[in-house]
Amino acid sequence: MTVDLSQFHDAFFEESFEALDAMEAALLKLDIGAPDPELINTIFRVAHSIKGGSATFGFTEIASFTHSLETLLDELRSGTMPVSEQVSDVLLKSVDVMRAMLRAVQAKQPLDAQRVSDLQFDLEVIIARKNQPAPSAPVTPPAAAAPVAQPWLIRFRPYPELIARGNDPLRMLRELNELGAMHAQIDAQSLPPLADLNPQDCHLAWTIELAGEVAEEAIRQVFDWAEGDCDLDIGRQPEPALEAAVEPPPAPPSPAAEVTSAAQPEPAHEAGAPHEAATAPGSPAARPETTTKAEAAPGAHSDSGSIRVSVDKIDELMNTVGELVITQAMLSQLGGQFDGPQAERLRAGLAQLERNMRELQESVMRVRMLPISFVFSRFPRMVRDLAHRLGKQIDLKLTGEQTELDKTVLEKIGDPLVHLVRNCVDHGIESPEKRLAAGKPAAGTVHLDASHRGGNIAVEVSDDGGGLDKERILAKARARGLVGPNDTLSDAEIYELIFLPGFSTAEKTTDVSGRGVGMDVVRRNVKSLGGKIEVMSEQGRGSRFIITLPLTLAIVDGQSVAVGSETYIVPLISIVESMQLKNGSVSRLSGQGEVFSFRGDYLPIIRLHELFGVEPHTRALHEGLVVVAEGDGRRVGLFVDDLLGQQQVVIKSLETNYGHIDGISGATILGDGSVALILDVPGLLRAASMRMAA
Amino acid sequence: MKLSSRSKPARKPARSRTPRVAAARRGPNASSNALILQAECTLAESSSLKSALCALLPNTATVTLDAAAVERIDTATLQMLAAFVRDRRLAGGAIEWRSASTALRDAARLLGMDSMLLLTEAAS
Repeated sequence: MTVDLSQFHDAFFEESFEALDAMEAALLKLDIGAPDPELINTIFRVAHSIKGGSATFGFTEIASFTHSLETLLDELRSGTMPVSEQVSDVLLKSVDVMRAMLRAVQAKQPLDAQRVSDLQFDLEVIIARKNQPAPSAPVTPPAAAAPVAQPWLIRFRPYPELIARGNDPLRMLRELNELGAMHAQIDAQSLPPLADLNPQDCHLAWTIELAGEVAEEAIRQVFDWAEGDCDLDIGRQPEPALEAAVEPPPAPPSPAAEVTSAAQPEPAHEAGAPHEAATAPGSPAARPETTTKAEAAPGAHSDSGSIRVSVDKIDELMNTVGELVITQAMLSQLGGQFDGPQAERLRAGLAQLERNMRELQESVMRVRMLPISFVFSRFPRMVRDLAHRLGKQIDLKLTGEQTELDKTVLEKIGDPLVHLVRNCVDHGIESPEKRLAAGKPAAGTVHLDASHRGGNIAVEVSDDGGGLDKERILAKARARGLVGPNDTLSDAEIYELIFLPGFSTAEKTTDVSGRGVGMDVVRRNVKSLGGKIEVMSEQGRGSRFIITLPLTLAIVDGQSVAVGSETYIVPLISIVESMQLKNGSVSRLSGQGEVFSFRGDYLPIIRLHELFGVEPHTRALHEGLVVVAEGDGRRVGLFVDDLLGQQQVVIKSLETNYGHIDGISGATILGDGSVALILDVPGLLRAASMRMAA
Repeated sequence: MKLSSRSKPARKPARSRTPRVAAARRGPNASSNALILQAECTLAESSSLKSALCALLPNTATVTLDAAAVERIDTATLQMLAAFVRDRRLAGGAIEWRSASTALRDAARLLGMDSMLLLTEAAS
């Protein structure tokens, strides 16, 4: 029987990448010198499960590399090797290499063999060095206190696949031996004749006596890794019985106990490697989760109560719910037109439907939500590496990691945040000397925070560094002719300059930042998500960048406006305010169309009816309304007939269903079943200026 | 489950991960009834060791095992040796340890396999 293992590849890769993230996070938390054993366990578990998975799927390079890594981690775990800076660096590099290898294998591309073998070599050198001074002298455990309690009696019966899964009973017994005085009694009854023995299968079992003050927890920890791969029974030795230790534990009928009848091999042994592969298809990573008791059946590793669902399925669900919302709105509208006692009940039902609908919509929406920690988690490593390279001391503070936002938004916010954090580390935080001279602690702080604000999420990147240098920014802008020599700018306007393409005040370009690409990209990315970015800064005290984003891209808070018989939706986030123009407050500029005065500024007016070719109720500007909207840093007045109301609308992509139109970001279906177009303000500005030029 | 680490790391070669030279090899000047165990006796080398042991099974003379060089050994290998020793004895053949390294003895003792492997009376 052959099992097509490739169907499990995706799950394996996905799990492995997640596991690597966890490993990286644990590594970063690891204290040099006094590591938390739980963290080392986490790290070990990741290496172990990736090794198991890649061996199962035949990714030999990864399996081999993780094997070396595991050996090193094993030394750390047993405490025979201290966690040094060097070790932690090599381990972090290993995470990178494993990621690269997994990516390469996933994309079916060749591996960077040199990089892998170099690092593997480093790993082995570390292991070898450790072994030279003290070949087999593990740290002697503290002398056991007076043994008052009866010795422990541990029955340990590995399943055959225990060894193939990367566990070695020898290692466990060695660890037990370090806990206290141990004596192991072997049971080799099931050992088949040599000719039939698959070296990967374990056919031995042990009854172990362990004396000394040992906590049961400590014993269980030794067998942590074998969980699910063995039968384990830990108990106290009964008072008088010494024969219990001699008596082998109840053994299952062993097919090969009779050595002379050697012609009865277990079919599984003959199968060799395919057997190994076939046992673990359901658990590709074959990871020993350590939450359940050891009696768990092999292969029955189940994660906590979560399942993996493809984004497509969720999108489909969202879409259907969106349609339902529209239908419901339609019904509600219709229900209002009836009269009589029956109509009352109908309306009550419809009201209930609306409530349920809203709940359903929110639940579905929540399915797509992920905590922002998915993005934040990459920063500890990045900041650590950058600080190292730049010779700075930086504490990274993360707060609000549990704030949830839509997966699509989450995916796109990563890069802008990387830019911002890099900037903070490179430009914001000063060198330790400079900081001390300024009376600040040598270590700077970069703070990442996320929180919900109304229907939006605010992500804040702040530092306690030097802040933005207004003089330098202004000087640079003047030198480049962006600002006239006599113009005076407000602080906000000066900070605005850093978002211009190609603007950088860094004295020297590093490979970290300073090339002048970045901030404009940051702003563009944030804008494309329907968000905005603000800067606050105080010279000598630090700067703050606040990104405000919508929680989701599937729904937008919109203002519906009427132009003639048509309804359009203007995203609320781009609306500055709405106003009625006074007669005569509009001037006509040659070549620039109409402008009106708005807080000391002259803003152009876009007549939506002209742009979209709709017959309006009125053409007189003072009879209609002007919606002041902002896009790409420019403001514009949109002339409409009337404001209808604010509502959340489900965005339907126009591009998917029809094609791209400048000035329109999508469409939605209103309660009465009619279609309304959602306006895209930056696009409108472009469309209007093109019309003007034409 | 330790990966063999060479005791003296040489230059950095772009090593390919081809299986290493068979761990168990007849010694250069050993007779056909002796087996010299290499420094690394782990799962990775188990298949070559297994064939070497299987080849020795029908031997009528006393089989000599030399484990002086063993630095790393795991349960899989010890299990194989145990099966070999038992099969030999059941077939009426004799075995003898020429010498056994501390690593091997420690491992066998921890696993409670020393008497099974006839290591208790072996010369060190």
